[in-house]
Amino acid sequence: MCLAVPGRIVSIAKDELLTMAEVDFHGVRRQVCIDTVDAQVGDYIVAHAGVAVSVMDADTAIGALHDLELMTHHSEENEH
Amino acid sequence: MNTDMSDIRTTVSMADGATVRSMTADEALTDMGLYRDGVTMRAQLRRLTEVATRGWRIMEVCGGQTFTLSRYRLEELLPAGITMIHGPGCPVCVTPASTVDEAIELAMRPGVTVCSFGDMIRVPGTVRHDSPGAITSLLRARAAGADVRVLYSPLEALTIARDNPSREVVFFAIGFETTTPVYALLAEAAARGGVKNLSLLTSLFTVPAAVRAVVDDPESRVDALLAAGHVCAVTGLDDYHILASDLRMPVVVTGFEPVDMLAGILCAAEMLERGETGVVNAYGRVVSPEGSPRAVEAIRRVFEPCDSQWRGMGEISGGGMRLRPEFEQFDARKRFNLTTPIPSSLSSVPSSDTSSDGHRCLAPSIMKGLCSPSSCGAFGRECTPDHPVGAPMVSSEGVCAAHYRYLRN
Amino acid sequence: MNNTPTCPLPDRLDGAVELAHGGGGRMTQRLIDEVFHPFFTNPYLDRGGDGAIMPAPVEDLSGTRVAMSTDTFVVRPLFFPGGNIGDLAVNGTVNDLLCCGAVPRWLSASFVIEEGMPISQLRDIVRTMAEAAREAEVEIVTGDTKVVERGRCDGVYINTSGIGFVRPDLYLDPANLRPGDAVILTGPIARHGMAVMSVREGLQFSSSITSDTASLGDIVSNLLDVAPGLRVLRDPTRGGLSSTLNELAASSGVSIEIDQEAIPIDPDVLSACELLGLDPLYVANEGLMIAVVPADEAEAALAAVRRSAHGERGAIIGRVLPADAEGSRVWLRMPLGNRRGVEMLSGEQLPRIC
Repeated sequence: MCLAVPGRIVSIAKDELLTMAEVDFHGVRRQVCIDTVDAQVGDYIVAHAGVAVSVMDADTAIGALHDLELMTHHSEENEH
Repeated sequence: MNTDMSDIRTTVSMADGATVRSMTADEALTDMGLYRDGVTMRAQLRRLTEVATRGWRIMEVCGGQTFTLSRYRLEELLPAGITMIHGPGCPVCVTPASTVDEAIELAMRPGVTVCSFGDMIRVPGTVRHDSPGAITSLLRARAAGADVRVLYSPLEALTIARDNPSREVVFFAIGFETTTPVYALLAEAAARGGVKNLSLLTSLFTVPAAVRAVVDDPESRVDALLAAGHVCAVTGLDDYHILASDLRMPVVVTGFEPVDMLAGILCAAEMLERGETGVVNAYGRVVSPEGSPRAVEAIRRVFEPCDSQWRGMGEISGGGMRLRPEFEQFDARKRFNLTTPIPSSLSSVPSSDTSSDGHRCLAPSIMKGLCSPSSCGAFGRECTPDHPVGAPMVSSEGVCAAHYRYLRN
Repeated sequence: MNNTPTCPLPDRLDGAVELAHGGGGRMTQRLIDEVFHPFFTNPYLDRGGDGAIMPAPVEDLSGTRVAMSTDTFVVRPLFFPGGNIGDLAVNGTVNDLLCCGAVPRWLSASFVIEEGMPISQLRDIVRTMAEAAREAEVEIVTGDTKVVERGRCDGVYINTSGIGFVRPDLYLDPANLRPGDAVILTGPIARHGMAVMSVREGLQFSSSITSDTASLGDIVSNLLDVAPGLRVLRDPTRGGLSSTLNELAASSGVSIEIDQEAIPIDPDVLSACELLGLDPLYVANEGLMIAVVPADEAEAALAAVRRSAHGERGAIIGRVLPADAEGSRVWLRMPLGNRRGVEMLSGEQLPRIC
């Protein structure tokens, strides 16, 4: 359910009806409506069906990835 | 401009002096390779084997998570005691066949353009595919001359409506709480812009009510839940705290990449082993506890809760959303005088939920996690992705379709 | 097609195609003279007969076989990043002949044109076809145009048929695969399908993704030089890599295993697939080939592919296995070391919300 992909806001333009952001999804750019979130240029959002559903949190992501790396490191040590 | 954090590298050193790769925000948030990494997954699986001392039944709520499990064949790698139960969470699958009939009926009317998502237009309604000349889906309606369009975003229906003022444009609006804000924005934008030839045929569901219905079933023996990350990204976690406390089980908010899935399963197993209940957010890079308040507010302005029919599960009290009276000018059912149940010309044919050689589709039990697709007599015979019988074979995320595609043999 | 002067011709033909352009009279002649003839010209075509007559190859013909292929091209939109329907029409038939092991020589080209099509667009398409034919070293020796009422076709449909020659000792056959053979892919997947998707109504996105449309004669001739045991060549167009591999496995009564991490794909193509919820293994390609060779020729074959035009990113993506107990299967080996079955495309691949 609910295919959603992360991307970075490159620019924001408000048209008469909606606030639209140009979002870069790893080399692919598309207009995404950001009236659902509080986001600025440079923020990372998760987009679903052309609308942002969340502003992403880099610190949490980096922390979680480091925890995973730590686990991987110890797991491999125990393995050897 | 200094809002750009994509170049800032963060390095964390480990206590034992091991080197840890430094990482930018951009990598951590958008490099899917990190979340599909085989070495990481192997470590997670080893850890899971250490942690899990007993048998646990964990239900992933969301069809997207079922899809990941099947696509990476993760279940065969889990410790023997961990059993995954595939929950009800795919809005394409649970949209009632009679609602699909309504969309087909609208599409066949002159002057009407029906738009929806690609996976929705293949879904069969109540008309069986072997009925003569049957228009079983929006795809077949298109072949019969209807104007049916696949859109990436419902917001594009606004442009289509403005560009074609002489046509009635209907968006077949299916979804869970993740998608509902999109329709709220669409209806509000249409109202503001004076767009009068646009309407929504809604089939909107809310997840917590359905999860409660499934887990409350006396036959179901679910020990923990993996909540759907993208639904929670919108709604926040309040409802899930209530759910966890009512059901007295762990609820782990989980993402959709294989590393995210294993992180969710590992977290659930650890909580089960320690006898803990409550909500843990294992998808913190996307989900914040309060969700997206502006999205929730948009939903509340335009929609109100209602009871709903779930294909394969029946009526769920408080399991849906409908347009508020102030927005009823955008309700396709009102605009076109659709009355459910659907016209007798369509409903008189045999139901698609029974296959022609009499195998009863086990969708309700499969979607409640009570039995597996392969125990269904229709699975892989009468019922295939080309000719789905029941809801879970319909979308590529449906549990039967996922099994068919990735696990058969 | 005939170059008898028509008179008067005050201006360059412009505007839109009209039904009368298909009537067979002076308007038709003018369309041919001004849109097709400037780009398509060679002695066989210029003679203007009801068909083209070409000399048989002069060398000893014993054992040489004739290959013929035909394909009709419909694409929406007609123009997309990296090409248009004209490239596809020439390269598609040329590559089909190459997959037969043939050296392509002559093509026919037939056009069904929708009334109202801008003549400038038609001219661009014809020019592209001429360039593609030159690149592929084939000649368009006969053709036809018809015009249908507005709404009866989608801009233009093009059929091309082609003839080529297969040398006596070369037998490529989809039933040739043997366990142990190596599967080579000549480049990154899913570019064509995603380039077209990027300009399709309702799905648009912007990217630098371009179609991979190209004729692959260089790859094939270099491969044949180093891999005498070449089993088969196939171009994985509609239905993508997965569907073609499934067809090959079934034809030979074998199974095929491919390594996910070995399959070349551009990051932006992958992103576009994820955005729309498409599986790149099922997305269409145009200038791509699968070559299956015996294991001991694999490295030389890969090197030959990589030094060829359009083959720089070639890779060995998998191997042929004995059939499974339940029959021919295609398996995808994943990063964790486990594998899953990859089926034929079922229906049309559509963007997902779920």
